[in-house]
Amino acid sequence: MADSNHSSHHVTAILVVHDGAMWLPEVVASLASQTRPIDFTLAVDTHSVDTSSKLLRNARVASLTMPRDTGFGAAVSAGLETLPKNSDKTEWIWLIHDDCAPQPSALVALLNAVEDRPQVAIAGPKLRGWYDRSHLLEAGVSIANNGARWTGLEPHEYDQGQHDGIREVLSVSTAGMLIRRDVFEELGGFDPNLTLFRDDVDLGWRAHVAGYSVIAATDAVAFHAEAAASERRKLDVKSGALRRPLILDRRNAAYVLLTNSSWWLLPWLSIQMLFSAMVRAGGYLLAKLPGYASDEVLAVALLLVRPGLILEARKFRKKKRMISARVVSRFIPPRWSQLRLGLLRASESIRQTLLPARPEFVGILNAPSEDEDLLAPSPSNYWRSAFRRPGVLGVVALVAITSLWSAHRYGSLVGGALPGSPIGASDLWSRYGESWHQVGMGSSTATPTWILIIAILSTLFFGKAFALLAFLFWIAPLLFMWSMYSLLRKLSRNAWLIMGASFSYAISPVAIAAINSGRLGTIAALIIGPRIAFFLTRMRKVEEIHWRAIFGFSLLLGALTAFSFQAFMGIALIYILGLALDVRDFRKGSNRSLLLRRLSKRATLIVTPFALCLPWSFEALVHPSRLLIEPGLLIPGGGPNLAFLANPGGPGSMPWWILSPVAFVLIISALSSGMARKYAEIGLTFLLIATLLSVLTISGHSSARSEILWTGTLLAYATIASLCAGVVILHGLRQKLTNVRFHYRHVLAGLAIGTTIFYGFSASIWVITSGAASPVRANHPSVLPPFLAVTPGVKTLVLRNISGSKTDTISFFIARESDAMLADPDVAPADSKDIEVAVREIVDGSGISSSKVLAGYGIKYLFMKKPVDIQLTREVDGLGGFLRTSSTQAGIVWKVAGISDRLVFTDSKGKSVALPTQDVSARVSAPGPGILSLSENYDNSWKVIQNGKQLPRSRNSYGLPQFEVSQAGDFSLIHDGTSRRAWLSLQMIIFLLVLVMTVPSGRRRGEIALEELT
Amino acid sequence: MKFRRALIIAGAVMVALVAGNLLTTKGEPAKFSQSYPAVVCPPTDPNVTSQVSIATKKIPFRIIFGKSTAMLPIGTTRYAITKGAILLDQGATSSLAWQNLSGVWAGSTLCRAPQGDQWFVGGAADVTSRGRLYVVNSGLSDAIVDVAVWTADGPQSGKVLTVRANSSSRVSLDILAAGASRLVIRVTARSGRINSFLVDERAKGLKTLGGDAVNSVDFPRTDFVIAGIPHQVTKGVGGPHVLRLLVPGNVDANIRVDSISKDGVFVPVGFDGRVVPHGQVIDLPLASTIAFSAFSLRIRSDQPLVAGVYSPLRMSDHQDIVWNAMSPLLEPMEMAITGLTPTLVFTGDVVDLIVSTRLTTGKTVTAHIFGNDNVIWKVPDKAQSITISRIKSPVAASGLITSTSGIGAFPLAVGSTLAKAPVPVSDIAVISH
Repeated sequence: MADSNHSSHHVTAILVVHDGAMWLPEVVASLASQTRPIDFTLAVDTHSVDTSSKLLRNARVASLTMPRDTGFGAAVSAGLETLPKNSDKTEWIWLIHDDCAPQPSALVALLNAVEDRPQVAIAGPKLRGWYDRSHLLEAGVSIANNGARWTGLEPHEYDQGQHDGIREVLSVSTAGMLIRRDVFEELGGFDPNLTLFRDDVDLGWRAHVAGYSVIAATDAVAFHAEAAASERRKLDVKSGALRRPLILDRRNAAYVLLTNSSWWLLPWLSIQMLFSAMVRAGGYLLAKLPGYASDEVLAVALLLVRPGLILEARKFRKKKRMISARVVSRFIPPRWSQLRLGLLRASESIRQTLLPARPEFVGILNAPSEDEDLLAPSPSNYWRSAFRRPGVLGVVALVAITSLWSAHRYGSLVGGALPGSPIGASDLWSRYGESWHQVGMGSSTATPTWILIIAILSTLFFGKAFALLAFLFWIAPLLFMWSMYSLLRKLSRNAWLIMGASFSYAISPVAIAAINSGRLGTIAALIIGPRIAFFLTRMRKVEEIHWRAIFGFSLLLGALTAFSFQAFMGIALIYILGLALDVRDFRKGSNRSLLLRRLSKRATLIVTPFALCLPWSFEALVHPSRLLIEPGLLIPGGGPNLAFLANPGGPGSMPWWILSPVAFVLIISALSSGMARKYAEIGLTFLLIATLLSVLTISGHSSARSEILWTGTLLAYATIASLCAGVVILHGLRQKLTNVRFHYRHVLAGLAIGTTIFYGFSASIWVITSGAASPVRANHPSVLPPFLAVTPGVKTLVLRNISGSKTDTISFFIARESDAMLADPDVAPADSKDIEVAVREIVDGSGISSSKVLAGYGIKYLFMKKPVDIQLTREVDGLGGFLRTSSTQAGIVWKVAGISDRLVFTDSKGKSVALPTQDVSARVSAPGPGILSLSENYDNSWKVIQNGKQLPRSRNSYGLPQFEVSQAGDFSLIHDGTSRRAWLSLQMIIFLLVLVMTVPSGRRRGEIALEELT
Repeated sequence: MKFRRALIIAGAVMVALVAGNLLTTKGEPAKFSQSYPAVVCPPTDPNVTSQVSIATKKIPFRIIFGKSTAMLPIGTTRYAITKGAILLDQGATSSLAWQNLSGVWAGSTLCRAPQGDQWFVGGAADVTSRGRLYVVNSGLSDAIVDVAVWTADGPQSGKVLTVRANSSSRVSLDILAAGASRLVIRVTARSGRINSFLVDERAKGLKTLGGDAVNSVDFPRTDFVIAGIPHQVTKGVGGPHVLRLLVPGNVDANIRVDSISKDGVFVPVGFDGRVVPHGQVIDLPLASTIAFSAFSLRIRSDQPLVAGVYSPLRMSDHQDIVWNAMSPLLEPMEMAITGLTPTLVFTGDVVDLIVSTRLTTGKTVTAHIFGNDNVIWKVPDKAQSITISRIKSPVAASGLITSTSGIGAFPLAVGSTLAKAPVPVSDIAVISH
């Protein structure tokens, strides 16, 4: 029969005090108010510098003063030494922190729990927060394999009794720990190497392996401020680096694991701890807490460099161990639990960032009334009212239009400016990382950054790049609408107005042309543009924008720049205008400091997006045509007249007679006053620049053909500005117009609304009829016949007759295994003069030596795509050096005579043999001295290494690389990608730096309000 | 203020639009390269002498035989063909090949650029025939050629020839249509760089009946001239000439033939409104009473047809034959005639043109050819080339060359026309959709 007063037990509370005046009064009061009185209370004060000792004296608590650097364990031991032994009763030590206040029933609950459990040597209460007393802090504690303190609780878990009950745990916190004195002494007390933190886990672990049990008794409740862990007080227990709570905690965690675990687990545990320390350090760096990051790594390193300490501690534990250390494995949390909790914390953090909880303002007058709920009519036709909402209507209408518009785009897309999609994201990753691109005659051009973004997004689409693009082109109008809606929401609260404007944006001429002609750059500009526009409205007073926002915007603009330099230059133009105004302000007021602040932020905004796209952006400066060309194939725009109508023109664009109201709205808004005029001025500037630039013809992206420049991104900006201006004007216009007599404003407003409605209807009808037959289509047949793709790396010269409105032209390109894929046009080199001449002579019938030239460039086949010109096929037949191998529905294939392999060895007698290569690099052998010719464009990174030495490299008669082989033997052909890797590393560092600057700063625990922590 | 703003906006818009439209280009125009394809001169049988007149010694050439494909300067202005046909890269100048079997026959033919389609009106495959068809592949890949044959009985089953790269193929006419005395042959290249040449040589037992190189025409026409038909008057009677016709289409042709000579223009009896059945080779005898050495025929038809005129001629000690082919309209040209002194026959309502003759001495002699209907002009001796220019009205012309072995006729036409080919453009779009 249990004794209700637990008279067979003798309980001595040891209260360890260290500058705890803030909590001490309540703590002392809680001890005094225990329903089962404590038999004796001893306070051990570690030379507090606040009023703690005075408070203890006033409370008449017996106290013992220890030096200030005394650890928790040492303080307890010192206190214990002063206590006489009581052999009649079971003697218990109740350890109390100076920031831990047990409930009055705590002690009795603990004693109840141990009463019928003689094997239990340690028991602990349920710990709840000091300030938020429903916040569950602990109900038993363990340690994860990576050293993390494991409570098994979710962040800020609300205590609803869900963990209640008496259960065995690895350990309990020393705050409120009730421990049998004899066991404590038998175990040797707390480890003196653990002055603070994790001493509880260590003690619990040692109790288990000594054959005892540890329980958490949740009927006992204590409130804990966690002052040391939350950095509310200075640590004086150690000197140097170990005075920092985090480093001490991490170091002690590692110590506990390494001293208590089985021998065979130690290597694996060390690796885990190091790895998780690195990950956590990365996280802290991201949160701009470098001190914590260094603490993480230093803590483990400090311990690993002192193996003697661990060996000694293990020796001591071995003496006390009665059973295997594996007995605690059931308390070590499984990896999936840690993962689940980690994910939960991450998602919670993201949720709070993206969707911060908004305080509910419920006043006295509008307090919720349950009766009121009952009186309100229930919405029986909710679905019908949903369709009366402009948002729902807009989305439904756009989804319906897009579904019909995309009739030919369900599948792997190709056409217009969009080349084919590679099979998987891995192809895009390797294309981005590789130093040598096997396109045409090969190039080392930096892969554009947009490929990296597509690769990342494709990875999220289970590695299917084609699925990503098909989805993107389908959902793009909805993204346009959403993005525009987000912007316009800040300008007007009229839902019908902003939804109408957003819908117009989604089917604007530039949006339709961009989707129909596969312009990824313009699509990106249309999605990101409205976000940028909102930021730009704050640019005049750039000094007031926080650095974090500056970097966040730079990151956004960097993503846009990756797709379109034209878009970046448009924004840069606004920066420059802003800069001019800054200088004007400086001249007026001579505020040098303000000017410098503005300059530094504007410079960051210009330089960062550019730096994020290195090395591609740097190369674009050397080849300025790339600044104006969009990703993908070069196809023409529509010229200045269409551009002025905000229609970029070109294949897939709407006919001119479907007039959009963009230019009209911009012009009438420019004549107005207020914000609308500002938007209109910017929009009109972009519109006129686009009109003028549409005059230019440009060649590039592996096309020697000059085409009219596409100015889609500039027109996207003009469209955004036009819609903003329109919304600002139309917002509240109805009321204004009804208050005045009829005049020209009524006419203009009527015209603007009329043209917008006409445009909306005609554009919608056009996109689902003629517009659906867009150049971008799904499942185009391959240009190259499949048998030409059998051997990897084989080059085929493709000739194709292209019918024009006036004359036919012939185009050519060197294909390798497959049709042009994403990024190929962006990285392919210009063809050499030799090849151009050879092809020209094939076409005009004079190319008697053309086959020899093509063979010299490693071109194995000549493929003439049907429809073919009969006369031209006769010319090819007649020239010699071209052996017709097939004539199919796809076209005619000739094999180029002679050795036309990628790698050819020519001996001193002039005899040539082909050497097999499958990839960029190769490992082959040379039969003797001679010349090794590589049919790739010359590049300084081509190297042939034989016996550890580089062979001399030179150019052959075609300007291609060749190597002098002096002796027989194996050699390696490589393209040295060191510089590419260096550039990518630099890009990654810049990206991480910008990311770190963008994400919200983490707070040191000391900076977090106690109310938030506990 | 607002008015000023409106003016600024209107001005900016106008400037942008006007500048845009003034400066705009429709993309880069397509570029073309122009060149004269190299011409091929006919091969010959071992016993036949064949010589080609060349404009200059520097002209590159190669023999269409064997593996060598190097083009070397020819080094002479009169090249004797021995091994096989030759490929001449002579630019705009046409060359003439003169063939003769000493004391038996002679003939002349133009060296021409490769042609996908050639029609030969002439030849026989009966017991008198020793004629042959040469098919030359000047390309460096094997060629496939269709040979179609029409006789008096209609179209015959054709032949498909494979001609190896850089070589010639010789086909006897009696293999093509055994026993047929009237032939029209069409040679079409399926692939390859093909030229065909026809030699019509005839003999009756041991007696030779003469021979000629038959010049080809490119395609059937409805209105054309056969110029420079040699006319030999013996005992007051000329001829007999034979007009050979083939209407290759599916409809019979209604034709009218005008005889054009110094005597004037008239329609021979029975040649106005004459119906020529389609698909059959028809020989129509022409009994001419004209007194002059050459005349021409103008044929008009409601259906496209091909035609040639056969003329047996009596030489001093033997017989010879001449085949006159359809003459295209004369265009400015230069022709190398080194070693030859042809008589040129110009036919047209009004003949008004300039012929400049460059002599081997380096001098140039210019003649203004002027007249009506039929004008005959003989090239001066020691001529190296002639240049015809300033042709003021439509004229057809041909040349006649007389030697002791026989007479040869050739249409005055360019051997190689300026070929215009688009300059190919490098564009990766060709390997995308």
